[in-house]
Amino acid sequence: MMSCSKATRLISEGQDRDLTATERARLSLHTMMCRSCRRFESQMNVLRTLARTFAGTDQGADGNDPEDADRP
Amino acid sequence: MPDHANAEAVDALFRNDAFVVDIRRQMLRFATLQLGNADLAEDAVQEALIGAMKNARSFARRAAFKTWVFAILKHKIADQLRARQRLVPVHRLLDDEQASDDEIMDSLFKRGGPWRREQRPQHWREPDEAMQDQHFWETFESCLEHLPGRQARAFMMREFVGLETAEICRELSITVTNLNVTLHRARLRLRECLENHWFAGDRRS
Repeated sequence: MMSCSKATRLISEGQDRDLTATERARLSLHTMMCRSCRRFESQMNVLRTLARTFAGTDQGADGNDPEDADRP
Repeated sequence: MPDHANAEAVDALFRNDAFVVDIRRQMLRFATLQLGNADLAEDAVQEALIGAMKNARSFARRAAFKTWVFAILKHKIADQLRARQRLVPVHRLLDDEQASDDEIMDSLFKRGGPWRREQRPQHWREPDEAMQDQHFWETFESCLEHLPGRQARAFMMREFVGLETAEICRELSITVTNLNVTLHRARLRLRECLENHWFAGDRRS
């Protein structure tokens, strides 16, 4: 079976490209049996949301002008 | 590219803005400390600011822009130090970067690849709630700042600016495999940092 370090590498790559069918199959076989990597996988999705929110690109539609928001 | 015109425009913009004047001063202090040369520091800061302005629109939050511009600066400084590696003793920044690149995998995984017991990912409490909390964002920023320069820059290009891998590879002059390794390590580190300093604690620390 695939190791955890390899599984996390594939999960990371899955954020940047489409994994092949074989990669997806091997990965889900691993995560099915490994709670740590299952958590890692869902936390990577959280991390992406956090990064986008931090950069502010998720908040563009709320009408606030961040340029002025924290002006002293 | 009309680099001079661009530089002047950026310069003018930055002089009018207390926020950027402040960032610039911090960057200069940091770069001078790392490079030990005021002129080289000035150049690195200027280049980093111009580089950062290219993607400035990707950043609605100022804290995010600041983290971004420092990631670029660290990258420029590392390049500078690499370029004169034979002239001066290998610099601490470069040492740290390479060492941390190698060590992160050993510190998280046992030989053969399983998680070390104490490093296994824990349950994260209420990410939605964290996002409403200003203290959380300070933690997030500080975790980003603790990434090695190259990892921080690659991660932010990917997740903040939203560039595709091919563009990032071109910009950083690295291979796709190299980028995959870099992003993997950046994500492992960030995940660990966020967990240790926020998500796994009973109370925020």
